[in-house]
Amino acid sequence: MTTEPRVPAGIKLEDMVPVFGGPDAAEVPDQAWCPGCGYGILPRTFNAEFDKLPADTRIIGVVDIGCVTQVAAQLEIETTVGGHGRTIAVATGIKRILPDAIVCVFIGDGGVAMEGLNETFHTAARAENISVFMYNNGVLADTGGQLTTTGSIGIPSSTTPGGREVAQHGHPIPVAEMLAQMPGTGYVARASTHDPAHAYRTQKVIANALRCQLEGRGMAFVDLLTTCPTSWSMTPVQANKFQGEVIVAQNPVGDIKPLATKG
Amino acid sequence: MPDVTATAATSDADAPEFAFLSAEEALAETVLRAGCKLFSVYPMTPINEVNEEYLKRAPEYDAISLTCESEMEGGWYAYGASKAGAHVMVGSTGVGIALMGEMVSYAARDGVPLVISHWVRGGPGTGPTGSPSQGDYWQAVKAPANGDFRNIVFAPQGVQELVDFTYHAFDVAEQIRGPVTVYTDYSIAKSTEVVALPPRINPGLRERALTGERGPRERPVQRAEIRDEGGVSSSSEAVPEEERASRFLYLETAAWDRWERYKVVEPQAERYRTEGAKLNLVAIGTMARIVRVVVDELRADGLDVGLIRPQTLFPFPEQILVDEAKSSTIMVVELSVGQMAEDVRLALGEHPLLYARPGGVVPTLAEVSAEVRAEYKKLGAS
Repeated sequence: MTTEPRVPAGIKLEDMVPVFGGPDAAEVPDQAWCPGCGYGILPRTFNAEFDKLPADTRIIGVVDIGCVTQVAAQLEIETTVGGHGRTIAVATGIKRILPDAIVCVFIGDGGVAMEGLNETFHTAARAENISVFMYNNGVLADTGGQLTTTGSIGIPSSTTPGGREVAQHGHPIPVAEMLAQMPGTGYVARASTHDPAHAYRTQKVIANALRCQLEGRGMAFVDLLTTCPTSWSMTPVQANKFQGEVIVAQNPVGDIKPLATKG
Repeated sequence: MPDVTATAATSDADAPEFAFLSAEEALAETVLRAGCKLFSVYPMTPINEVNEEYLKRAPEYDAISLTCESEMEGGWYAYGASKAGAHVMVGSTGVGIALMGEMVSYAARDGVPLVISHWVRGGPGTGPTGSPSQGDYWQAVKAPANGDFRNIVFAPQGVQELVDFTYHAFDVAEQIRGPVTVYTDYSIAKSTEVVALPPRINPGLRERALTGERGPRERPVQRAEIRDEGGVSSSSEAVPEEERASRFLYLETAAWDRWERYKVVEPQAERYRTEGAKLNLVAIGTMARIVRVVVDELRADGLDVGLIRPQTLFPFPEQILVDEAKSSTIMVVELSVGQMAEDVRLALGEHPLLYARPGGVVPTLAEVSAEVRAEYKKLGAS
């Protein structure tokens, strides 16, 4: 979708010099996510990082089932799907046959921490050279917003209408922290998209996760905290505030296992 | 069905290579010769022994074996590797195949070629080790998992057919772009026979596959189109532009396209001494080998009996049965409660006679012979 640039009065369009633009790949069709969804900001970041890799780099995206599936339409790379929670195992099969390709998994928190918990940890144990990006909003948004095992204490969902309580719903599984303990991971980090400063920092984290794979340092895992105003029954502004004050407070952002320096 | 001996014997150098091998050794050697690049296994007898033989030979063929955390994940490794263009195989007994069911259903939907080595130990639940049951017939032939699809199913009677059918299964999987099962009795796993081995081929990576190459790309809009990326499935080319807008029309066309592809496989059955038979016995695998001896014994006694041995279970050799039923009575002999007998009934439109022994029991020659003689006698009486 292209729109005519708005030119201030008294200035000719041809005199203007572009100072900021998105990656070519960011010209994407209408996206399917709800207004205020934390997912929407990420494809641009990914595309920008993919564009920085040499043009002949082969990149394959494996997208899981859920709202995250729609990322396939937003990325400027070849993508494929697998069963819910199984995409990390699918990525293993692809990577073993095409070891020179960069294989990235785009998966929700339900995929990683519920259906695919087994796959996640065994893949990390094998030091499989892939990059896993967990779009983490604490809910199974595609099916109407049921709590997932990563959901923070207090998070509202259709199965925890009053917010998650430990006594009733147990503790969240700290997948990223657990993976950081495993020798097979080369890089583990958490980032958030709830405000511009945090969203900007996701780019560095994504770049590191790709570098980890390029340098063959084992599995890279990024926990991308995202909002789901629809499932949380909040306005987008309320959701961003909740994420900053509640979720990020329980899940600190930054490198959990920094990428080792070269050598 | 390829006649390996005939195709390989074009020159001395290509003369068939005979070897005295256990089924496990023969299968491992065969799949590597067929160009299988990834075999994922969760240990379960007898597929673990196949895997051990495969591991010994894999480095020579630049192939990978992944011993996986469960059949579920192992199945998905194979699915991913096949999407990347490789020939792949998974294998287990019925319980392990059930765990792979989710992946098998996706493979059928997404046009992912896959060979399944199904070893039958029966059940329900984990069948006992050593049980030569045929009780997974419905699972393998009728309902490997959810959805509108079938697996092509071959049923070998011994090590040579295990070799020939499995080798051929890799080609068939590519043609139908979906799962192909080699449905084998456990007792065959513990057989050692002289076999003619097929020639080595290196098919390389399939052209219709994920490559990861970058460049202009038609963005998938529907989920159905996302999974067709990389040209793995044929759905995206089979579905006309105007139907692509509707998820359901897209999926309907894709389903019929899938059913059309199954037609490349001809139903096949061996007929043994069926000429002039008044009673034809239908049996597969281990049971067929027993019935064959019984047929010889009864023929020597002047009883007109024959054996019809289905070699493909889907497609089921219905026409052969219909033709034979015109001049003979049909009797099914199987190591399950009457599972294959249902397919025979569907073919004939009436119940066949049935001698069924479920639970892992293998009847003796004398038992089968007595049953058949009794039924034969009744024919004479009518």
